[in-house]
Amino acid sequence: MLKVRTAAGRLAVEGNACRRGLSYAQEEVLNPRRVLTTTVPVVGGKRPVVPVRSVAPIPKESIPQALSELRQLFVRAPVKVHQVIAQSVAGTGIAVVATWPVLAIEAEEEVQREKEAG
Amino acid sequence: MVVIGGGPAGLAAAHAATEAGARVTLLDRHPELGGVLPQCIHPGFGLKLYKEELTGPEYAWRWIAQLGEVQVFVETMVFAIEPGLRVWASSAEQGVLAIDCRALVLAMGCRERTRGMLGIAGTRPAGIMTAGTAQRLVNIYGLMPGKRVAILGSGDIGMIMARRLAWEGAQVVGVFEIMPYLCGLRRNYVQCLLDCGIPLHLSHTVIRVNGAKRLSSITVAPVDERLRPQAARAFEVEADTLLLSVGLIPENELTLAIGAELDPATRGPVVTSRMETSVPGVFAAGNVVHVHDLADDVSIAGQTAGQWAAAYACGGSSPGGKRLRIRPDANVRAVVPQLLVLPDVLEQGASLLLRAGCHHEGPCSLELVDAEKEQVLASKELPYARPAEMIHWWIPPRAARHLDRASQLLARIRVGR
Ligand SMILES: Cc1cc2nc3c(=O)[nH]c(=O)nc-3n(C[C@H](O)[C@H](O)[C@H](O)COP(=O)(O)OP(=O)(O)OC[C@H]3O[C@@H](n4cnc5c(N)ncnc54)[C@H](O)[C@@H]3O)c2cc1C
Repeated sequence: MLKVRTAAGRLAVEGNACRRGLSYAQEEVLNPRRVLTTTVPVVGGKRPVVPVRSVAPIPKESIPQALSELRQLFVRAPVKVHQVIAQSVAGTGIAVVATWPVLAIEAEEEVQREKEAG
Repeated sequence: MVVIGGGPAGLAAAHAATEAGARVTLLDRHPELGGVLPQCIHPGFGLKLYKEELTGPEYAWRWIAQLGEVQVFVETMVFAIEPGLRVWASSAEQGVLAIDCRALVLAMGCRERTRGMLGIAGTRPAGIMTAGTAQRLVNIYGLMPGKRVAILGSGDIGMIMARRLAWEGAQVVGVFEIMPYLCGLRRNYVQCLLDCGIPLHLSHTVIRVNGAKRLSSITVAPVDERLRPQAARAFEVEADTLLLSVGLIPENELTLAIGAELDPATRGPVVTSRMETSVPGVFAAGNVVHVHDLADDVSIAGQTAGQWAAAYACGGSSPGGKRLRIRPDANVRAVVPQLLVLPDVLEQGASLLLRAGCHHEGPCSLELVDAEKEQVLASKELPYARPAEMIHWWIPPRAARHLDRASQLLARIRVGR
């Protein structure tokens, strides 16, 4: 178990098994960040949504803002892995990219789908 | 060689076998490779193998991109295996396929436990599903399963879905766990439940589901120390959706059909340190053998299975040598592999994966004991023992020398000194 004590504005970390644990503990207390992952709708794709991620962790409190920005978006198929979906979310300067490829459906398939959807 | 299942286990096995010179056919019933990973869109994969934090789809994509000269059939379901190793599969495109092979890798993954297996009383409304089904609905099909969600079981998939649904605007009313401790990883408790303010109720279970067409509420009760629900203290929680995250079971139909011995503790096939089952030439890896916490470990097991299956396919049979059985004993629920091939272990060491059968926050020691002489032959200190976290034990060749004396080993965890 990780233990973090704060004294006189400094952090003392105990119980970390490696250096990653040390930096994780410091980050988690001072500036908690998370990698944001969600899905974005795809138009004309073999799948209706594509999974996306922020390329780096973003501040925890920016997550709601980032999610609501991503909710406004859609992408057109084909989508490639690591294609940029948004240049920057929630004013962080951190980009959001696709994490899985989505192939485009053939033109006739698309017509068929639209018909079925009414 | 044939590999059944295109998840991380099958991908790693197919890749390693091809590298070792075998001709490999990989079969999966889904339209896309990657197994369950394409739906696990959250980060937390690859820390061990790649030293970076990948999402499930990215992790799967790395393996798919480097697969190499493997013949792949997707949307192809294997429905039977005959002795002498003929694999029967069917697909809309190919019709029925019969593939003869010299060696086979089982990599079919696992299945989630369902409401039927829990026997929860009540009506049969819509809105009750496994956490993995909800994960597939949201992340692959872009559909929300409901608006007010309760989760039974504190497994990882349940906690991850709690956050996912909260982020998508659902109200997640709580996670109910029958055990007095968390069943998934602590990291997920912090980043999924605490971050989103979702309450976790330990020692609570769902005793009844209510609602006619659609779930309207669940009845929750605390349990006593013997896990018996206290009906007198039950309360109702409004919810239109109940997700079950109550455990996984290896996908066993094909394993049983070829007559491989099963381990009642893991509920998957008994395997050697080469990942070979009791049927010669049939290897297995990943969640079909036992449920893993991390996809990285699944890939590593897949590589081992692929390498040895390729050696078998190219050479005809597994080289002999003493096989040493390990059985779970005090405070250990399961050990994989169940059999050590001694010549290999003396040369390369042994890698054991164990599940603790007890929950103990504090130092304890893991031991391999000679079953007859009750003598400790190898040991390892642990900071704690938690059933939710797989224990990895690497025994180097030098330490493995001592194991040679025994004819059977017991794996135990000794609590307290
Ligand atoms: C629903 C679910 C969600 C999960 N989420 C996470 C998570 O978020 N994080 C995490 O670390 N771990 C997660 N896991 C654990 C995860 O499954 C493992 O880490 C890893 O993916 C297991 O790899 P595998 O190759 O053994 O099995 P899988 O990835 O399950 O792959 C097995 C493949 O075999 C195919 N198959 C099965 N039977 C047949 C047949 N008869 N014919 C043809 N093909 C067949 C299946 O279609 C599937 O594609 C999850 C597991 C499940 C079941």
